[in-house]
This record gives sequence, structure tokens and C-alpha cells, in this order.
Amino acid sequence: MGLTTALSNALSGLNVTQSSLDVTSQNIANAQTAGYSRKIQNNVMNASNGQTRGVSTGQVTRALDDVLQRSVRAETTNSGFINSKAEYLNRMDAIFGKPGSTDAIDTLFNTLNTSLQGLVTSPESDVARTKVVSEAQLLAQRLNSMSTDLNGLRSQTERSLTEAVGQANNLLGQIESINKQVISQFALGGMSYQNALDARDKAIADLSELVDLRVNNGEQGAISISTSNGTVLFDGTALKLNFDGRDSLTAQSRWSADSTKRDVGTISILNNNGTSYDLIAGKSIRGGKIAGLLELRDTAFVDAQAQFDELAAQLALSLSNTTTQGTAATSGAATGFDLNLSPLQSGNTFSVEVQNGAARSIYTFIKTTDATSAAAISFGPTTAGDRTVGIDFSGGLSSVVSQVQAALGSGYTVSNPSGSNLRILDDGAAATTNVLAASTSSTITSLQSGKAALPLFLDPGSVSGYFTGAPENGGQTVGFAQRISLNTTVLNDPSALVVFSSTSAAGQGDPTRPQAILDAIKNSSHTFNPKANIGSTSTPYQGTLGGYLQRIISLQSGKAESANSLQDSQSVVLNNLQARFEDSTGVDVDQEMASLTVLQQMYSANARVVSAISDMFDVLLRMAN
Amino acid sequence: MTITPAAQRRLFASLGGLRNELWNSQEQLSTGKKAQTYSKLGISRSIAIDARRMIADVEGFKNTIRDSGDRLKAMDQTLDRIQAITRDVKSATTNANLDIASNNQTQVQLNAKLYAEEMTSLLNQDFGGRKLFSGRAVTNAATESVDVMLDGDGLKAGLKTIMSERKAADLGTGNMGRLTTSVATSTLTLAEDGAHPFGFKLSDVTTTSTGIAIVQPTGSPKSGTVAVTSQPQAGENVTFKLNMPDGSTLNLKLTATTGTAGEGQFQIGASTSATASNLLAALNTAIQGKATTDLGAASAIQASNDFLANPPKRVVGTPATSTALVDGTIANTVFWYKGEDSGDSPRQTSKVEIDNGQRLGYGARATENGIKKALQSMLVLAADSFPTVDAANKQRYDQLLDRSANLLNESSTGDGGLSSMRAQLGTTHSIMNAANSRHTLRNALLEDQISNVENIETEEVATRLLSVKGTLEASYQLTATISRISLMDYLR
Repeated sequence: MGLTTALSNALSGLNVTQSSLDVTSQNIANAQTAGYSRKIQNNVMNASNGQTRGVSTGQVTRALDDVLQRSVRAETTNSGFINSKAEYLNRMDAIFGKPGSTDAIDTLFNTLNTSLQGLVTSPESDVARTKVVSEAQLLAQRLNSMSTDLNGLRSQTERSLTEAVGQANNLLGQIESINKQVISQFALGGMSYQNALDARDKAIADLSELVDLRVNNGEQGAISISTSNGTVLFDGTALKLNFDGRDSLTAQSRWSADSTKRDVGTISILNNNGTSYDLIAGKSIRGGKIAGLLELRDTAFVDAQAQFDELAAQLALSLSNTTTQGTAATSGAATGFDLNLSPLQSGNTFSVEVQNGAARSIYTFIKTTDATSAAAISFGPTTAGDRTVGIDFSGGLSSVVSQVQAALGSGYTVSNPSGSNLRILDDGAAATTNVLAASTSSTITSLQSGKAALPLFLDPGSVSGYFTGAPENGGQTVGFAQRISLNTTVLNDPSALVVFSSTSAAGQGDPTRPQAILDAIKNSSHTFNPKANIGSTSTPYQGTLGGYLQRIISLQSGKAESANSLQDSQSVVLNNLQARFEDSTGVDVDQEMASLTVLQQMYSANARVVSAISDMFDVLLRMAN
Repeated sequence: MTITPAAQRRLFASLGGLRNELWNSQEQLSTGKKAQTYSKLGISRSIAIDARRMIADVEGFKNTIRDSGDRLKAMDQTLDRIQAITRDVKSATTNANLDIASNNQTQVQLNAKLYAEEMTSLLNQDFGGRKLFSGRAVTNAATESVDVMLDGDGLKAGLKTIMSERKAADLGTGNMGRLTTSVATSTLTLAEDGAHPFGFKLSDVTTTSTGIAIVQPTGSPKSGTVAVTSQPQAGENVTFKLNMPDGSTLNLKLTATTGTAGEGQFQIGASTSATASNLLAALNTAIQGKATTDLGAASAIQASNDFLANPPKRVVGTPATSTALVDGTIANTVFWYKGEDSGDSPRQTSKVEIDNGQRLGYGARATENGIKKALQSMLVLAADSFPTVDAANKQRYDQLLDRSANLLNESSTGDGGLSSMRAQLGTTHSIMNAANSRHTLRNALLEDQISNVENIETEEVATRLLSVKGTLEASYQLTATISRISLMDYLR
């Protein structure tokens, strides 16, 4: 023990205080830096031969709660997913218009109903006719604009995906370079190593908002990152995500695993072995903003579009289609009906109500011109209950006969007695089966057909200009809401709303057609295609157009509402977690200031020791002199 | 006190939340609405959407009731006026003086034409682009103008032509009303001159004399005989009952007398064959007398029946010897009614839905009995003319007035008379009004429902706004105060 020992102790104290000051000053400087975690310097006693000799600077560590960090990441992923959905669904909600305002879709629909009632009362009135025409046009245009807006939103998700994937690549690149620093500084440790860890964590946190992540810690500070189902995104080197986004989407654009059938972008990854892996097909991305955008693009908006289309389709068909009952036919003891199939266009239907034992069911047959679409549009139980069956007419009537026969089963006899007539008979004397009714529903294309039905709404996108719901090439219904338009002949001459035959005694004052239009729009029950995800294939939604519209609005705004409330609760969860996380890792300037005071005092105390030793040396040297 | 990032986050979250609530409340207060989108309306949005749809329905029903109610009012006013006209015409027919005013017509006849014109203008009145008495053809006028109906239009014959043709057809040759008479020894034969709808038709012959044997007219054309088997006693009579074209009947009563025969008498001759000859002469005189008077009036009425029928009936060939009626065509005859008439109930020609599934008919046609007969009576009066003032014309005029007045009588059974029309339409109107008050009530209820879902309670929102504002102010104050406190101020 001597003065030199004490001096070296004091010097080591000064040293340590200086480096602690370094840490504290870093902490204070970075108090507001995102991702920065508070650094702690752990000083240790110098010990040798069982004796302590001053103090030395220890490892700088981060104040970090691993478990909390994991939870924050997971909740960030959830928030990314929920936020992107809420943002877009809110914008879709706004498409319907302000409740009760004049441009709200249901208001337009209701106004048309009211005007139609007026037209029934005064069919001869030009004012009433013009009112109906202009309101029908407004409704069609509103459907167009809603559908266009929706499609715009969907195209925007595609652009957002491009952006998000670019961002993810960027972050993965950052992670790669920071990761290298981390590994190189692992051995050195210290402040810069810890800061590198912070920077990497920050990048991972940002990435977790985009994709659901699993982070595995490796040796020497290395990490690997995969999506939660195990698709590797980063393993020392970043794998590049590729998104072949399209500039704009149409209502027909769909994702498909087959790149030749796909007209929206897909996310793929180029593996080290050079093969490309489709992350959407592999269902690799299940969370985060990207998953949210994908769900919107491929499910939510497709459903909404299908619902608009189905509404537009039923609106057009309910006005333009006319039902013709079959004529009774017999053969021996067998009874049934003859149906003339010649007026049927592709998409038109004929239906047969049959009874087998006690079970009654209605078969609806849809005319198509190819086998693929015939199969695609069939739905319903194959044993009992109501069924919809696509019939391919391309093989002529004999093929139609066998297809209908196959659908109905052996209890019935289907034949082609003459021309384009189809005959459906029961089993006669056996009396197990019964054909109760049969009818065809065909699209009227003339305004002066002598029938109350009229092609009021047209499809300018089709070859004929008429809308029949033709199922070929994915179906005429897809995107119809965007195209539906008022028949310009009626627009120019609204008298077609009333006059349907040159021989009608009532002529200009005949309420027959206005009443039929009103009934179709307001009162008649229609069966809506369950493919639009309202109703199911076993119990499709049956109701009025107004009822269906109400269902669409309720469903879609309900989705927006629940997305919003989920977003609210999720933001509370995430905020609390982040606050807790930041409480444990963040810098408290007050705390740092307090430790600064302590360091100041320690420094002056150590300096005092040095100065005292110096005095003592002086005394000692004077004694020696 | 410096604020740590974690504290900052909490502060932002809570201050942000408060601020959003403030904005929301402010927006609600300024718009009066709870939400600007369907999603923010919450779970009750479907109630609002449904209620709106029902309100639109109710509004449609109310508009419908208003429009058709106005029409019913106009129809009732028209019918009321027509009833008043018929009363005027009827009271005028009690003045049977044949005082010719102009154009061989009396003032009563001239007035009848004016009344007919008023009636057609009422029936053809345009009510908001719609004619109310044309059945389904609501854009067509119900009737032709009175002038066209009377005088025809170019090649199309009017009532006057049809009347004169019919008159000639009914009168036949020799003023015999299409009857033939002859006598052979003591047997008198009386027959119709052919099987046709014109002139007198034989009904039956009766006598109080035992010396006269009658064979009632039978066959087609009908023919019968009156045989004087022994001389009748003076005062005994033979009565010939004749049917006239308009359905009225005429009794020609011929009384036997020993002196010179006056009107309605025949002299008992020296032998039964002389008596028969006298009876024949008396009968011929009687027939000829009535043919130009009573039969003339009946023929005028029947001509108007022919004219107002759908299609109108025309005499074929030379009237005096014509044996048939044929349907007039649009080319040769005026069709007086221009509306729609498919034979079903006129009420069903205009229907109105006043509530879900509740439909009422309120249409009308000018061909309904009440209107048609009123018009007919005026047209007949206006069409006929009396070129000379003599006893025969006086008699014919008298008969014409009687018959015209008869047309205006309403039978008590529901034959579509004016009163029963008014009663039916009135009932319809009152049912509509009841539905209307129901709709008003329903509308109020629905509006209330929507208001509950969509509108704010101003007091509630204002109170909330105040309390949020207070909290926010306090929080800002506190935040400011805390951020001003700094440890640095105390470290020297």
C-alpha cells in the first residue's frame, strides 16, 4: 500500500467517471431518438491477488426487455394489418354517400321508386316519364361511379403493395448491412456495438409493421428473419421480394397462382438456388400491412364489386326478362310440360318444379355456350332441394336433352319432340314423380315487344349491347355495375316507359308497363347469386332489390365499423405495450441528470484524492529535502 | 420535468383522443347528425336505411293519393254539374209548346244542344294531361264534339243523318209504319212487311165483340187476321197493340159505331164484309196517324240508340224498304266515343295503389249509363226538327219530350246512373283519404325512427362538448406546467 496505489485508484476512478459521462451524454443526446435504448455502463472493481486496485470500465449494455420487444413486434404486425384495412374500408364506406343525402345510393334508389309510383298513377304525363328516366339514369350513373371508385381503391391497394414491398426490401437491405456491423463489432462490444443492435432492432420493428416476422438469434449477434410460417426473408443476406404490380386494375382482374391467368401482381421471392417462390400462393404472408392490402385487393373489394355487380345485374334482368309458362304435355300416363327454348339467350334460364315423393325442388337451368362456364355456374345440392345447373347449348338440343336428363335423374323423361321444344315428363303410372310447373325466362330486346318487360338498362360492354347475364368468359355480370347504362332510346323518347305495343287500347295512358317496372324494382323477390357472398349456395339471398341494397350497405359499412373499432382497440394495446417497452428501454433525462450530478461529484472527489496525494507527495519530498 | 418518450406517447394518445372527441362533437353539433357515413351510424344503420325506404314508399303513396284524389274531385265536380244539367233539361221538357225559335227547333231544343256542348266539354276536359272519362285511353278526348255528333264529319254520318234514315225506314211506304193491311170478304189481314227491326211490330189484337174472330199475329214477319163473323154491337171495340222501335207500345183502339165514324171509330156496315172494309179504313187511318207522330218520336229515340251503340248501327239500302241494320264503319259513321271501352268495369280502367297491396279503381267512361243517357236525351232533342207547326208535329214533339225526359230518369237499381257513379267514386275517395291519414301518421313515426338513429340530442352533445373541452384544457394546462418544470433549473 502506498501513495502510488492510491493515486492509481483515484486515476482509475477519474477514468471510469469520464467514460460513464460518455455513456450518460450519449443517453441524453439520444433521449428522443427512435429505437435508441438506454445504455448502462457496468463498472467493475479491479482485483488482483485478492486485493482490489481501483475500478475499471465494464461492459456497456442495453436496458432491453426481450419478451416485451417480441410482443411489441407482434402487435405492430397486427396494427399494420388492421390499419391498412381500416383506412381502405373507411374510404369504401364513404362511397355509399352520406346517410340520407341526395347522392346516397339508397336515396337514389328510393327516389326512383317514388317516381315510378307517380308514373303508374300518371302514365300519360311527360313530367312523370322524364322524372323516371332521369332518376333511372342517375341510379345507373351512381352505380357506375361507386364501382369506379371501388375499382380505384382496389388499384390503389396494388400501388400501396408496390410501395410496401419496396419498403420491405429497403428495410431488409438495411438489416443486412447493420447485421454485418453487428457481427464485426461483436468481439469489441461497447457503445457502438450496442448502437448497431439498436439500429437493427429499429429496422426490424419497421419491417414488422409490413410483414409478420419471426426473428431467430444466431451466434455472434447474428440473426435470421422469416415470416411466421417459416419463409426465410433474411439469413445473413437479404432475399429480394419481387412484386409485379399492375398500373391499374379492372373489375375482372383476379389473382391466380398461374401467371398466365393472373392480371394483378403477386409477391415472389428469388431463392438462393435461383428458383422463384410465390409468397401469396404459399400463404407465407399472414400479417402486417402487406397481408392487409392483399386481403383488401383479393377478397374484400372483389366481394364488394361482386355485390354491386349482382345488384346491377338483377336490376337489369328484372326489367328486361319475361317469363313464359310451359305448355302442358302428355304421353300415355306421363304428364309434364313443353318448353320452347328458342328465345333463350346465353345467360337466360328455364326452370322446372318437380316433386319426387314428398320432396319438392326447383331446378333452374342456365343457358351457356361452353362446358367450362356451364360447370362454373352450377351450384346447389345434388340430391334434394333447389339447384342451379349450367347447360351447354353448343352441342345442339340432343345434348341439352341429355344434360337436363342427367340433372333431373331417372324419375323423369326429357325429350325433344320438335324444333327447339324441350319436353319434360314425369314417371306416369308409377306416380312417384311429378312435374309441377315449367317456365322459361328470356331477355326482351325490343321496346315495342307487346310485353311489359323492356331492356331499360343496357350493357355497352357486350357485343349485343344487352345484358343477359351471359356466363361465358368469367361472366357478363363481372364489372357490370361499372358499365350499366340507361337505354338511350328510352332516354331520348321516354314514351317507351309506357307504350309497349302499337295495339294497346290504352296507348299513352297504359299503366301496365310502369306497374311492371315498379313491381320488378320494388315488390318482386329475386334470387341473388350467392357468389357475391351475400347468402349461401344452399340458401341464397331472396328478396327485393331494395332489400339487397340495404344488405350491401349494412355489410360493407359494418365491415368498416368493425375495422375501425378493432383499430381503436389495437392502437390502445400497441400504445400501452410501446409505452411499457419505452419505459424500460427509453432514456429518462431526469434520471440521467441525476447520475450526471453523481458523476460530477465522483469526479471532483477523485480529483480531490489526486490533489491530496499530490500535497502528500509534496510534504514527503520537502521532508526528504 | 422532462417528458420521457413513453410518457410522450401516452400523452399524445390521450390528448389526441380528447381532441378527436372534441372535433366529433363539434361536427355533430354543427351538422345535427351523429355520423357522416353509414359505418359510424353503428348497428342501427339498417333501421335508418329501412325506414328511409319505407318513407319513400309512403311518399309515393301519398303523391299517388294526392294526384288521384285531385282527379276524383274533378270527376265528382263534373258529375255534379252533369246532374244539374239533367235537372234543367228535364224541367224544360215539361213545356210542351211547339214554339219554333229558329231552324225549325224550339228554344228547348236549342238549349239542349248548348247543354250537350257543356257536357262534352266537361267530359273532355284535360286534367293535367289526362282525360278522366275515356277509360284507359286517358290521352284521348272522351267524345266527339256535339257538332260532329249531330251533323257528321265529311263522309261520316252524324246523328241527324242516322235519324232521318231511321225515320224513313220506320215509316216505310205510304206512312204505314212498315205494316200491310188488306181485306178479303169479311176478313181483315194485318202483317209486317218483312222480317226487319223497323216500324211497328205486331203484338196482339183484342176485341170486346163476340162477332169478331181474331187470329193472333204469328210468324216472321208476323201476320194475323181479324174476321167479322157477325155484326158487332155499337160501342164494342177492337184493340191493336203495336210495339215501337224504342220498346214503347201503342194501342190502337177502334170502336164500332152506327153513325159516321170519327177518330178511333169504325162504322158498322150493311154486311159483315162492309164492316170489315170500314174497320180496315179506320185501322189504316189510325196507323198512318201514329206513324208520323208517336212512331216518329220513338224512331228518333231508337236512331239515337243506334248512333250511340258501339259500333253504331246503320240502315241498309233504301231506308223505306230496308230490311236490316248494319254496323257503321269509321269511314262512314261518326263514332261518338273516342275513349277505350273493352267492356270491363269502368272503375278498373284506372287503378291506384294506396298502400302495399291495396288497390282501388277510380276510372270512368263516358259510355256509362248515367252519362250516356243524359247526353242521348240532349242529342235527340238537338237533332230532331219540326218544319211545320201542326197537330201531327205537335204530337210528335210532345212524344219526343216525354221520351227524352224518360232517358233522364235514374232507376233505383245500380245501372251505372250518375248517382251511383258518384257514390262509388265518393267511397273510393274516402278510402283514399283514410289511407292518406294513415300514411301521414306512419311517416311521422318513421321520421322519428330515423331521427333517433341519425340525429343527435343537441343537449347531450353540447354537454359532452363542454366536458371534453374542460378536460382538454386542463390536460393542456397540466402538460404545459409539467414541461416547464426542469431538473436543470434546480441543479446549480
